[in-house]
Amino acid sequence: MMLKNMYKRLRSSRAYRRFKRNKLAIVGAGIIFIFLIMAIFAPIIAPRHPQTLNPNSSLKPPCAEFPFGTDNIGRDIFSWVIWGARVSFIVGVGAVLIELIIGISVGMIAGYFGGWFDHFLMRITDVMLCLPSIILIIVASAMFATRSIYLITVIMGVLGWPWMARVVRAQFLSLKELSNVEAAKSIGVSDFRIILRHILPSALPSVIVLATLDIPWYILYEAALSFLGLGDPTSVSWGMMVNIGKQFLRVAPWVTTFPGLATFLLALGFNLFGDGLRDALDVRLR
Amino acid sequence: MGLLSYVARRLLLAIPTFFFTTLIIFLLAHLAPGDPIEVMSAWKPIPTWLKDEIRRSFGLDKPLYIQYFIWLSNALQGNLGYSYISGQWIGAIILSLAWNTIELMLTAQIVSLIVAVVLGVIAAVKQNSPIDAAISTLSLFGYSMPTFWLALLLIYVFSLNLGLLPTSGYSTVGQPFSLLDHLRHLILPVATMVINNSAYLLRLVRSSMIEVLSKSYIITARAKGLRERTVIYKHAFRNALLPLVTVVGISMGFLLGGSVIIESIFAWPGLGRFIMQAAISRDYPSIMGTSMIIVIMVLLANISVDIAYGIIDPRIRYE
Repeated sequence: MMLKNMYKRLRSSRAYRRFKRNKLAIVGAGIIFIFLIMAIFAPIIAPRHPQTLNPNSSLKPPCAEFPFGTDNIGRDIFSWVIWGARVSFIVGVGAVLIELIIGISVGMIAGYFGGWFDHFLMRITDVMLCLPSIILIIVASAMFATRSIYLITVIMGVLGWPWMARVVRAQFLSLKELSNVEAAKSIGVSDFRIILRHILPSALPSVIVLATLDIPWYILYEAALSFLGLGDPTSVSWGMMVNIGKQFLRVAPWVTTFPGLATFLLALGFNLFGDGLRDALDVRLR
Repeated sequence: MGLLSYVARRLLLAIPTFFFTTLIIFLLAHLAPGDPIEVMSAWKPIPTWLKDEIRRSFGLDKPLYIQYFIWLSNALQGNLGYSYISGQWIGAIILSLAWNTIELMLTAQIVSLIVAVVLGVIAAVKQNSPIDAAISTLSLFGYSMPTFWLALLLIYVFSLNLGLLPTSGYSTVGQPFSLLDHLRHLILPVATMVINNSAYLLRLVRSSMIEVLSKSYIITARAKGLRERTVIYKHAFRNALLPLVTVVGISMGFLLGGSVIIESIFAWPGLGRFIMQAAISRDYPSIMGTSMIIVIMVLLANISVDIAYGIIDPRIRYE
């Protein structure tokens, strides 16, 4: 019942109508949806398990049996591309969730209470501005001898929150001056309740847009790590297959082409979708 | 406040940032399980007594905070130590590699700016036309592309198929160094960076140009009967340039980050490739030294961008 009401409110909202008019954003949502279906139903859709070796058919060009061809040890690229969607979603969404939890809490406290904590946060974000995050992520990942995709997700989320915190902080700084917050304060509402009921909801649009636009970055970072050989060697990652295909670029370009194309399309989908959300919610970042 | 005191203040503000960054890298490197001696041992077994001996000689047996202060006091005196792996003086390694990275980055940055400004202005002037849609879509493509994949695509087309450009390296091995040969090696890595980087800048140019074009002084300029060309280039463009200048500093960091991937693919002897190899072998002094240089480079880039800002826009006072 509640869900139905929420759905109704969503459909009648101005943001929804604006989003629906944006054709590119709908295309983005479609791309994400297709990859999501691939990720969830990978075992059903993929003709075989991607890590099955077919030594008799190594470096086969695309054909009826292997629509995207095979790699040097006969793994089916088509199945690899389908299963690879799982890793990308786990890493992209997982890292953003971690970024949201840390970023919102830190940004909230810094923006609402200010003081030394705020100064500390600003210094930390300054650092992140000076050291490109991909370098931090690469150095951190290289430190671990055994890496799982979950470890990589955590590393990226833990190193990626400062931007989110900065945006949340900026929102809180301006929103706490509004009259509804002042009114709530004057009748003795607790800080906790003010933050949760009166400020956070208004800060949400920016947070949602930033989070959506961060997902493709994490997906590209994971692919880059795996490409550099710093990913999870046991995972079915698109970047890893591109790395394998790099050696056979001249004789078997399909090994690099299809997994790379998948990474590109999924990142593009999220960027189109995020852009559409930004326009629909009328958010200005930076 | 004058320019000089502004620069001095910015440099002072950079000091805490510098400490924080090196501290974070230091903790990141030292707190992960294992150490460089274990990495060496995995490659070629080392007896336990010798491991402890090596740790002592590297000073790795001391408490962490003492290790950090030893590194810091040495670094501030210009001594970055010796690489655990090659035994070379790190200052010398960095000096030999830094220029290669700077060359790559600056070329890429300049070309991206030109591409971004030209395409961004065209898209803004022809707002909502098919040309605008095409440029905007292209830019989205540009920054959704995985850098490494884009690089391989370019290598596949221009090196392997057309045979126009070399696949990798700084210059052709076994040939005397010639500038033309070196420039040919520069094209593909720079092109990869430009496609990724200008996509982002282009969107910014477009949106700020559109904003400026709707201002009343533009209407006035048109009402005066000025030529459209003058209106766009003299009145709109200079004002639209400002937000672009601010992000040039940020995109410097972005390019430096990308250089790790680019330099690995194109076997370009630069800092990005070096720091990655150092991280894999947990060569602490090399990791610390290189990241320190990277931080200084980004800080300096940001400060010079701020100064340039004031030159472009005389309204800005340094405060």
